[in-house]
Amino acid sequence: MVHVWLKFLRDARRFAKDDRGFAAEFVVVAPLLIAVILATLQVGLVFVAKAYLETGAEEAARKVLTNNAVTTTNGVTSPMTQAQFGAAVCGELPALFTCSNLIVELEPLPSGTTSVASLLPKFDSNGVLINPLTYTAGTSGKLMFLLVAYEWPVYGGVLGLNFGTLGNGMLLLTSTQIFKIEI
Amino acid sequence: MTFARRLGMGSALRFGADGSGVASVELALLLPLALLLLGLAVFGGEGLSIQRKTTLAARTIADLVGQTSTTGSVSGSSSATLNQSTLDYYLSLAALIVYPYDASALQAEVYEVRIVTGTSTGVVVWGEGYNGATLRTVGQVIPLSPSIVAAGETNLILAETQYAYSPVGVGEVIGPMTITGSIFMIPRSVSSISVNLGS
Repeated sequence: MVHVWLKFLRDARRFAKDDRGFAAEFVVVAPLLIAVILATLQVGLVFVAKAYLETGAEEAARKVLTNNAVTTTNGVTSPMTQAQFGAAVCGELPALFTCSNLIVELEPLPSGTTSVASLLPKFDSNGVLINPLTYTAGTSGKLMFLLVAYEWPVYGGVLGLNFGTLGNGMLLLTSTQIFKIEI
Repeated sequence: MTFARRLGMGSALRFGADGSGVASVELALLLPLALLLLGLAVFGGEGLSIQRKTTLAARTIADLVGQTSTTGSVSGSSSATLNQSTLDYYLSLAALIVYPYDASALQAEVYEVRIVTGTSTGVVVWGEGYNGATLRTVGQVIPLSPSIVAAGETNLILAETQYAYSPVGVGEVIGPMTITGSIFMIPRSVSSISVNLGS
């Protein structure tokens, strides 16, 4: 890849020297500049998404903490199902996110947990979730763990600039929340 | 022209008059600026993201400690006891919250602060740290916001977090920057919380 690029640059430079034209020269140098500008825009967007995800996760955590992650049908109040809770979390997020791709895990924090590693969702080399998402609606006084994650699409630039962390080149955004449900 | 030539600026003028290589010169001027902008975007974005998680960690610790209630059937008691091991565990949860950022860069402390009656100050009653944090000394006077004092409580929980942010390329040169989080919370169901040391 690098060889091809260098050869292209060399040829282009020779061409530019012959022509002494501004346009030819611009063709050579422009990709470099455009790549950096696009990368800057992409970085900005990633951090905007991170901030939104964090806010959404905080709102979702508050819903559970205040015993509001419930649905009432025919006067009977029951905890939200996994799908209902997922939809409620997505409702806190802007349209930048696709609800069906949102990864939401809620469970009582296993006692003695000191590392987040065992609680994280696992992905195969194609960025596909391996384990099913855990969902256990908590009860009053329980110490809970909430994880909201999203596979954010990032695009590689001409210079091999890539921000992906997963096997499929996506960047995993995560927000973890720990709280005790109010009595 | 002759004046300029007398000053020895002939070559400079010739350089200026030569139109070839303009795009390359422009790139040489713009690229460092564009790269700097990209660097700042990454550096600032990461910083803000860490700031949120650091603040959330402090909030979580204060909230968990503040929710301590009396166990058993002792109702109306104004004091609750928290085992030191539980307190240490609450503090260690800060490491889970800052994920995906490096938890080893995070330190946390939690204190109980007794409000000095009639003033906007408080004194540290007890404190516990995490990950080698330097603690405030017991009895240290802490200024409080009058609005917190006005809530009419006798004791408050203060949680503080520090994250040593060391951005690639910057941290190595000027050393890590400290991002801090700090929050006061009112004990929820009791008026003071004491720590059962060693258990």
